[in-house]
Amino acid sequence: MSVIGKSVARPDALDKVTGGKAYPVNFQLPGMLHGKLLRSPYPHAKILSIDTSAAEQLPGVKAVLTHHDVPQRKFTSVYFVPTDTKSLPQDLLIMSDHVRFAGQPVAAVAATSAEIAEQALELIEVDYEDLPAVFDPEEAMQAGAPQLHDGAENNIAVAPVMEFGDIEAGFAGADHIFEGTYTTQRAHTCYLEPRVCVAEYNGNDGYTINSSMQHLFGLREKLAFALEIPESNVRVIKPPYIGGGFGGKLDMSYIEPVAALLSRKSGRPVRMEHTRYEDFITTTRNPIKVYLKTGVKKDGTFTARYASSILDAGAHATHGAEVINVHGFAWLSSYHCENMKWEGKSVYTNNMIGGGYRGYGAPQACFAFESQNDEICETLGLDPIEFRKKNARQLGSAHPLVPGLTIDSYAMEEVLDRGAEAIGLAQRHPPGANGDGTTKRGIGMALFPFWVSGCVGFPDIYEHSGAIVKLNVDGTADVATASVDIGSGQITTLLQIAAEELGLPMAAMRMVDTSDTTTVPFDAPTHASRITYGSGLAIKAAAGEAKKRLLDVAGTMLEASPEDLEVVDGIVRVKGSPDTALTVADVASRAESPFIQFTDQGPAPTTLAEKGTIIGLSSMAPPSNPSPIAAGFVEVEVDTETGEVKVDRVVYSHDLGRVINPKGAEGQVEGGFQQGIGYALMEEIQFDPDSGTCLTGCFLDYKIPTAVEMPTQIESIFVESNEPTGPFGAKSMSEACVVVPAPAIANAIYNATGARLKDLPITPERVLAALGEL
Amino acid sequence: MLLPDHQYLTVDSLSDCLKALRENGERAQVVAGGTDVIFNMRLKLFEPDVALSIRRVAELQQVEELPDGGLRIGAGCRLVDLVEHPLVNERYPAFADAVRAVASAHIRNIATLGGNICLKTRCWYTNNSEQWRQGVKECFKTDGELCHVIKSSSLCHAINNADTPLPLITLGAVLTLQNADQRREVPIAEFYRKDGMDHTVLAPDELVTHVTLPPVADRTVFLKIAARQGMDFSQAAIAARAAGTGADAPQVSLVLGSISMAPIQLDQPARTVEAQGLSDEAIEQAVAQVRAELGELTSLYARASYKSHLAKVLVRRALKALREM
Ligand SMILES: Cc1cc2nc3c(=O)[nH]c(=O)nc-3n(C[C@H](O)[C@H](O)[C@H](O)COP(=O)(O)OP(=O)(O)OC[C@H]3O[C@@H](n4cnc5c(N)ncnc54)[C@H](O)[C@@H]3O)c2cc1C
Repeated sequence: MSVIGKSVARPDALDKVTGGKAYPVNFQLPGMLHGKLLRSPYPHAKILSIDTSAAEQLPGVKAVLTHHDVPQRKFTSVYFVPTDTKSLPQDLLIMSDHVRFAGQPVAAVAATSAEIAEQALELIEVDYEDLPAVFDPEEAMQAGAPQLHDGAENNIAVAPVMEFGDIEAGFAGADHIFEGTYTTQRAHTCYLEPRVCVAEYNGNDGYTINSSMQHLFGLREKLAFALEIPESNVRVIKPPYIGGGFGGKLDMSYIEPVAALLSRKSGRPVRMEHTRYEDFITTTRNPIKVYLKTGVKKDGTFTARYASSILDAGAHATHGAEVINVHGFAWLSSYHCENMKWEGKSVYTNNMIGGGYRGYGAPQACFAFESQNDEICETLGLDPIEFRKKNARQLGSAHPLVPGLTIDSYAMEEVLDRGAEAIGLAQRHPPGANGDGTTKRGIGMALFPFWVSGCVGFPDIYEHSGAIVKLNVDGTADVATASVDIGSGQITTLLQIAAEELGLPMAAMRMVDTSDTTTVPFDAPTHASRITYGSGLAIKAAAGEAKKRLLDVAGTMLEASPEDLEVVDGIVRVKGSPDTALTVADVASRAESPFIQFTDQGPAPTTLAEKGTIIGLSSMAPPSNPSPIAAGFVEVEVDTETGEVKVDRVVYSHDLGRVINPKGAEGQVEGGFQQGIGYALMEEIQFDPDSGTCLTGCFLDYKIPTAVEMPTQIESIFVESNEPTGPFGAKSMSEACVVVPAPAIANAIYNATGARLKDLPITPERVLAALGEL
Repeated sequence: MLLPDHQYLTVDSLSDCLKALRENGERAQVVAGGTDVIFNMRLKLFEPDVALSIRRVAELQQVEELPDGGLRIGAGCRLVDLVEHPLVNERYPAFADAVRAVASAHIRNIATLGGNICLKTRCWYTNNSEQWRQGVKECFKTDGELCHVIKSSSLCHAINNADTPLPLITLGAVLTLQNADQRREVPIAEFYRKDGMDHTVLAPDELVTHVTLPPVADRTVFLKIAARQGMDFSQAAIAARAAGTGADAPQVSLVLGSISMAPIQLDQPARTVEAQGLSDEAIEQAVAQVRAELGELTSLYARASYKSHLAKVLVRRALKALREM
């Protein structure tokens, strides 16, 4: 292969390091207004009245909205599920007279400047009736707790249950039973570009929207639904790239419909941009409390696995109603066991709304089951690698949930062996035995064996993809797709796939950066680690179609059969006789040329069949979205006097099918570790228990790891198992790397100190408490 | 999160600055590096009529060598200048360490020593956006009669989070405070008040112009513990100084910071090691005396029990470090 597997440079790199003019945050329209939201300071309240008259009179204010001015049609904001399929609760309004979390928008202003809009907010008088609030999901399920939504009894939004085999018999047959409760916190993806949009009303119930989001067609569908207009009335412009998402922009937020309505009211385009505070209370990884009970034989074989998971959905179900399922699937399908039962609950509270975040329920599951697996191995004296191999699935195993399907790429054993070897797992000390005085060292590992977020291994879960590939007369190719590059480098990898398929050099490839919902086929969101696989397949198919046409035309020109031709590095040539050749530019020119071409040899022969742009189009449902496998191995140093934990060394081992771009893959894994170490050790969105207001609304109070916290060494091992359905054998990888750090670090802390930490984040305070020092 | 309406005034000389301060008094807010004050203005924690920038006042940006071997440092000196200053590093290594421990290189590139010394106390209830503050009742800092940190308290419990004052106190530094009419010299040990609201003795028309450091030959150390190494305020920090050599420490001073409204000088533990020397046993005895000197601790930013634990750890580590010097 000439392009696949090479660390080619990112075509968007120069633009990004010189200011990133194409980020949506830099998008402007002439005459545009600036919108701001007034947000409720109370977590649970009824709005008795709102007086906006003073705000409306402020010079510069062009439009004001309250719940009286917006459609009252309930929707779900989640992009990947069409709202009218009703598989997720429709419980959200653009603005409502019922406030369910501190920070819910209650009014909006558009003005000629952001300053004026902010001043106008201060002039709005809202009369609230304070209602009792509940912040803890278990309290919310108790009788007598404040009820948040009609029809959600005991505040339970959804309560999925799944059962296989005979769980009671499984526990009865166990030699040992392990139990534990594991909690995880609220964490923000910390995308750096704030949520921002510019909406323009174009008359006739139509809108054009520019936004920093992860799904063109999802935004179109949600916006049209909430505004009660036909879907094609909304045109969503694709940004060339956005400044990060990580799942945090997988739902329509309040600003898009509000900006649209403000534009309609004012007759001018309206721009809205979140402050960092607003971003911090807009989406979060849902906290989940997981109770695990596991039965094992003496040799470590599972006989029964039971889990119950309580998810804090916050004020509206949105992603929380789906994260709970994907979390359950991640736990269920991770390891094989005949007898399993899982009970999940997604519960409404007066906390902020949840959302998507890289891993989508899997980090919460993996922290629980890999922590417990470590405990099982330590207690029974089992080798952690052999224990996992014994219980995990194998290549060719039946799919854990879908009968009839099998797992067709699965290099789990190699992933474990190479990682364990690189970190020196076999040589690690017994718990607490490495280090002296107040400094202890330890090594820990965690495996994520199967099913992260949408990497489910079966077809048709709204992963549909499409692409257009068009050759130009100068031998270059333009590739258009609706899938949004959220920073993960997909522009590069997708172009590599197209280049390889077409036989063009990378330098000839260009990603079209100005498409929109009217010009490109549907593509699912940039989520579920699906881009290399799903969008990649669509791009490969479109490139394949363009190539077929290219060879047809070249066949006419070279008087050869298209089957006998090949394209190598921009040259179309007859296989076996490389001198009978044309450039791709020659062929594309000929196809597009309007007249008979005269050359030195006289008029060139032509038929009408060869005329027309060389173009390929695909719109398809990929056959699967196969699961990657990841194992993380870390070495930590624990200061037993202060409770501080430092991660010194990381080995990451991944089965990703095939590496398309090694540098890009390493970047994903290293960035994933940074989010993973933050989740493990310090990140937490905290709220004042009395008022429900957010205490960590900026980067000083919400701590993310800096370069200093990052280990000096991250070794990435990529195992290429060659996924038969994938583009050039690739599957995906960008979520599993966020899933394994927390349990690997917790297990390493156990190895260092003998203390088992079951609550995230593992702060120094918690470490000291676990050591009995506090 | 936009800045409140204000007039931005830049002065070129100290006298113009002091005149402007006299004229505007409490309606003015001095902006040095602006790393703290601008952020707080965005939060509408204060909405001054005049933001008075002292960035161009050259008189405040000198490091002078004094005949006695001490240094006189202008309050307008940027932290980066002090980090890189050979005499500061040579003569006052613990102070240099504290300057280096402030925030990150980006912030030290504009932040000043005067700004660090005068840094307003912090609290996650009030150092929060105006919109969220409306959800909680008004507190002392927002013209109310309540402290969210300790609801029954008649004082504001916001934390004094500045790092550099701790070594400056142990070194016996003296601040020069000046208004349009006069100048006074105040030992930095007497500069802070145990009140989150009114946390220094500085008058509204006064500026800190200089910090004078006497010559010091003693052993000194600065240690800081933060939730994040890369860029963070201290959860607890300590500066320590000892005369003598080895375990012999006839004069000791210990100053803890970032756990309460003002830096805390630990008297009893210092007296213990002065009397008994820096043996492991004496150090443990001193550590056992720490909690009693901390007074009431709050769970602002970190749990009270964790803060008192860190205080003890820092005292132990600082004393051992002094012994090894
Ligand atoms: C991300 C971040 C991390 C930080 N981490 C730390 C840390 O680790 N340790 C730490 O100590 N601080 C930290 N800070 C706080 C702050 O940046 C520093 O304390 C800095 O030294 C303040 O200096 P400045 O010149 O920017 O002050 P300014 O913001 O300009 O002023 C601060 C206050 O001092 C007053 N003031 C300034 N100069 C004078 C003067 N000469 N006379 C009288 N009053 C004056 C101002 O009116 C204002 O009230 C951090 C800040 C941020 C944003």
